[in-house]
Amino acid sequence: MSAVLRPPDRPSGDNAWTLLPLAIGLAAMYLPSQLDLARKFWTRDDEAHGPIILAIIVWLLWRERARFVRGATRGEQIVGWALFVFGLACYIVGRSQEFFQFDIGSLIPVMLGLGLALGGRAALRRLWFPAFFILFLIPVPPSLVDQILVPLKVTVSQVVTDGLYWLGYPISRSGVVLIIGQYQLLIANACSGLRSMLALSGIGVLYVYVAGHPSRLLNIALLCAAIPIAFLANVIRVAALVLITYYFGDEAGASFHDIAGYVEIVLAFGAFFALDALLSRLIAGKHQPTPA
Amino acid sequence: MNARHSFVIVATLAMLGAAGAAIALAPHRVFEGAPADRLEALIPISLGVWQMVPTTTQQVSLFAVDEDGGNPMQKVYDDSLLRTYRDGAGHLMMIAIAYDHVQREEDRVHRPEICYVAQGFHIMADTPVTLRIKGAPAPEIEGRRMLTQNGSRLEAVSYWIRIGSSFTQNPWRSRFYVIAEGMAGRLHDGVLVRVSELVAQPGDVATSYARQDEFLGALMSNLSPAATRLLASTAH
Repeated sequence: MSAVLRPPDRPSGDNAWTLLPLAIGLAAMYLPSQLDLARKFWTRDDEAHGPIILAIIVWLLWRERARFVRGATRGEQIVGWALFVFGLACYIVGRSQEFFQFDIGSLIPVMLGLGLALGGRAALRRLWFPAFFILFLIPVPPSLVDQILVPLKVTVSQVVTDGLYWLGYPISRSGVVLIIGQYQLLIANACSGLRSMLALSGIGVLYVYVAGHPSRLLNIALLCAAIPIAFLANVIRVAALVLITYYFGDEAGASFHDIAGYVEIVLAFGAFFALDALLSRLIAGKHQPTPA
Repeated sequence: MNARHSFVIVATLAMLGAAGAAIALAPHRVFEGAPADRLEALIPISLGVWQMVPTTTQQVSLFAVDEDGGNPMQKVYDDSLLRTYRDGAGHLMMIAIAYDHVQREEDRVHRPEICYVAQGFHIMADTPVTLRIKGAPAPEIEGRRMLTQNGSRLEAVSYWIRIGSSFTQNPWRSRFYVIAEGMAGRLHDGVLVRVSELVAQPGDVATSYARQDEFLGALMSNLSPAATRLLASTAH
């Protein structure tokens, strides 16, 4: 009866090495894609978050490795195979035709299919997050970038102009060109980065997942806050850039511009931690047992 | 050897097979038949009543480049041309042509919708049309007309994109065509032909579009057969 002594839910990675061939298969498929991505996209500042996301996905899968040796029912195996084969078909079309959204995106059905066939629904439940995170790895198609980016850029410029005008600064705006005092500032695409917003939202989601709060309410609140926080951080970044240029001149503005991306990430993280701390306290306060 | 082991082996072989199939299906044969002549030399400076004049109005660039040059959409064409022509009555017609030897999903000719919006224009109207251009090798050209606006500048645009032997009227058709042909191992060239004119008010577009068709007719009538084929033939 020694089996009873072992906690049933403790993940044991003893058999995980039998999955090693799968890792080789995945590497044969997706390593070339990742190298292409690195060559074509990651060299650009605004998509430099790619390798970090890839590393996080690998780590998340490694963490769950014990789940993939638990076995699955017949039905789960069939659905798993179907997903897997569908993913392979998407991969072949995407990879051979340089359609990166299909090429990289196929990793989602391939991974979910393998997980379902190997570990059943229990494994699938642990895979939704890595699958979601793959979305951040897919390069945003240029046409979509412009459809979202241009309105976003205009909105950010508008919020900054209205805010600073309300505070009494001599600021006006024409499209995405801001005029403050003697200076003209163009809000370039990279500045109001859609991609940095995406990356920031991704970081927020990861934070919620890894922190693993037991309160579902808190998790949902934090997830909902990710995008507004990313937007606000962007507004603050642009406003800071405008004010630094106004007070200290063009050159100071330009040198701030180079570090602004990092400032934005720090801001967003700070806001996230603060919100988490605040909400945790509120929720904990509500659930505190009243002394009898 | 249990069920899991055989699953792992079959799945791994399937993945290696997919990786191999993707390499085998990548098209290698480059479409041949497009002339290597430069557009500058192919397009005459005199097209019937239309004469090339030095450009006075800044034309919307063919690239969706950001003003800081940092736009990910920056694209380099194998050949491109931007010109302005004037007729006897003083109308100014702008023409832009972009040519690429090979079209791939990540690297297709940019649609003017994207270039205009990226350069601060607002698209007020955008409709698919069938262009019937005098002298063009294809009797019907599937293209689009747009009315665009940037501040006080109103611009009426007509354009078409030819990829291989197909006029692709929208981005999905381009994408599908390039991918389907690519799966069959064929690569195609692509060309964008865009003409535009500034108009005083939205009500003037009909006149302007008629003039644009006339201009395109004059263009086709004055080109060599190789050049008309390059711009507007479905026989490729």
